[in-house]
Amino acid sequence: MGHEKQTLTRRDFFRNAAAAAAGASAISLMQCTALSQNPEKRSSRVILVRDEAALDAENQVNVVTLKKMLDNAVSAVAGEKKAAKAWKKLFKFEDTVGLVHSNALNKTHAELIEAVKSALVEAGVPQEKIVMAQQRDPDIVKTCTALICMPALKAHWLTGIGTVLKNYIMYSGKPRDYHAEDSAKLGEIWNLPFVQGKTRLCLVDALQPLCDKGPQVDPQYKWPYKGLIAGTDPVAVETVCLKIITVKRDLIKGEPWPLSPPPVCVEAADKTYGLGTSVWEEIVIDKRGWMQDVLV
Amino acid sequence: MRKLKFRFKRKLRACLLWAAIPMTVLSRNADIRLPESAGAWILSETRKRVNEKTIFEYMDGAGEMYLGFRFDGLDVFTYQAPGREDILVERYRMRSPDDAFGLLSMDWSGEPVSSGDAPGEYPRCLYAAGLLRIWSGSLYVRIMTFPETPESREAVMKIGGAFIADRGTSRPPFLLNALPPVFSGGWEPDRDKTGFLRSHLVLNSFYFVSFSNILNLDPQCEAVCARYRPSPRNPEAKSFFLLIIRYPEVKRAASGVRSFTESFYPEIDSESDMNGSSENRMIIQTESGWSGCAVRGRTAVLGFEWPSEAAGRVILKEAVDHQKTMEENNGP
Repeated sequence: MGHEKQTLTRRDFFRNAAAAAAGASAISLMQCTALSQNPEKRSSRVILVRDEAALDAENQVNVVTLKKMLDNAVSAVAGEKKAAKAWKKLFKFEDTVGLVHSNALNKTHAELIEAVKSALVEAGVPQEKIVMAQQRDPDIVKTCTALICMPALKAHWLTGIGTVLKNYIMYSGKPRDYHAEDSAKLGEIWNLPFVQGKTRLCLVDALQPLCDKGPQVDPQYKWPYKGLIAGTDPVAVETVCLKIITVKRDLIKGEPWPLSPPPVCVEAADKTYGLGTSVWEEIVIDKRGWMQDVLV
Repeated sequence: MRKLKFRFKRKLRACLLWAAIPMTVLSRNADIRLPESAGAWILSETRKRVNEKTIFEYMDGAGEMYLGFRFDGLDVFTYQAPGREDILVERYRMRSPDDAFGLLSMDWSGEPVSSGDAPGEYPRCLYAAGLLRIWSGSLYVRIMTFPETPESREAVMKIGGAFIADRGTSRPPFLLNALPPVFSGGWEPDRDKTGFLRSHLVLNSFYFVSFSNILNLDPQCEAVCARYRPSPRNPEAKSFFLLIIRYPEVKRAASGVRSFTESFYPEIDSESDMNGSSENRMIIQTESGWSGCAVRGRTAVLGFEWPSEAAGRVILKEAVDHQKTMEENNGP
């Protein structure tokens, strides 16, 4: 036999599907050290806000509608009726808030970034303490006391999905080391000392997601979903994002069209790095607004 | 019917457009003449040249796809028009037509819009939603504007014509002939899921086998793959996936398949099980149907999701026999 190197193959995933009821996982087959958790006590809430008017016929952002969607999402995340109170609950005057957006291919909409900045300023965070933290240089994120993870929703040809968990890849200093087989380790970046515990809000730009071939844009796989997805559990938010992309792909092809390679980072972020839940049954989706083709 | 007529008219218009392109600007780095303008769009003076070292600065996270083939460089051009989205032109210079074909083969969806393609040939140009993708000789080209408008579509088509005009037809990789056109059980390759590749990362985009490079693929290898669908006379059968790899050397083929069997079939002793026949064949029941592989000289044949052991044995034998026939006709 002589097989020393352990690698994750297609067969491991099929075994995982069969063994799911027994609590095994593809990730555990990689001999990662799973954190001890009690799944029965876990529950995460993910807010999904959509508005048909968020984009016009030419896919230009309606900033007034977007602001309302943002207020709605953040209020729900914080459990407050008023958006201003919600922002104040999540972020304090003394915070230095880093906005971590998608700045390469398939970018986070600039209008969303501006809306978040305005909301933070209105909540009392000084303008000069709001920084754009999507940088390879970790010095900037080290100065932040709070982060808002605000990627655009997209599939990724090397990691399956390239949204929430992959959004901090630059903080590793070695982004290429987290592609392909090592994409399962994306969650470890969230546990780096200068990152861990700082993410107060995950806010996914799902206005025009990309469901295949990301990050390079192929417009036939973008569609006007007109949504924002928010929560404090990055894994739960990513799991909802994954579901939306998966369902959309199946609809496009008219048959199952699984992401290839499979997005192993999501389950690993749960089982190995303890960042949140990837178990669908443990996620409560609070859906608000436009429900047509909501997909989840 | 009206829709069909409309599509035909659009195709015809695209073909006519491409036949009448005024070629006025010689681009700096190649012999393709780009039009100075396309509708309201004007070719910008700003050009970008990307090589294998700088590709990740240009497209972090997507560069591996191009480096997975034999990549020589990328030239980026932009067309601009007041009040309209830019048109981005990416010209990927690959080392062979096979590599350019491989990039296009990663997704056959879209509307074929090239003129001169014979019926049954692989399309050279595909258009969808604002993106035109072209395989022309050793060039792979992406011309994109988004959102799409009728005006921008016309401009994209005009620019695309520069990459097709006077360049003759492109031959698909010869190795595609290694894919049997039909199996006796009634399976035929799905043209929309047929591809050419050299890298395990690209293979995983077609069909996930393993995150690691367990087949030891590299740019010296060439491989073709296809999903085989049951033919109408065998509608109850399930589809399966076939991969054929041509390694540069016989010993590379043997070691590549050995590495694969050790990782993919860890429950068996690959050495003894593979040595039972002259073609080193193996068939195993997996969690998703039957899978098997065979090595013949420099060529490895691998199959996944066969419906039964018996079907797998027949398919593997026919696939290997097909390689023999190819070798007899064309040399090893």
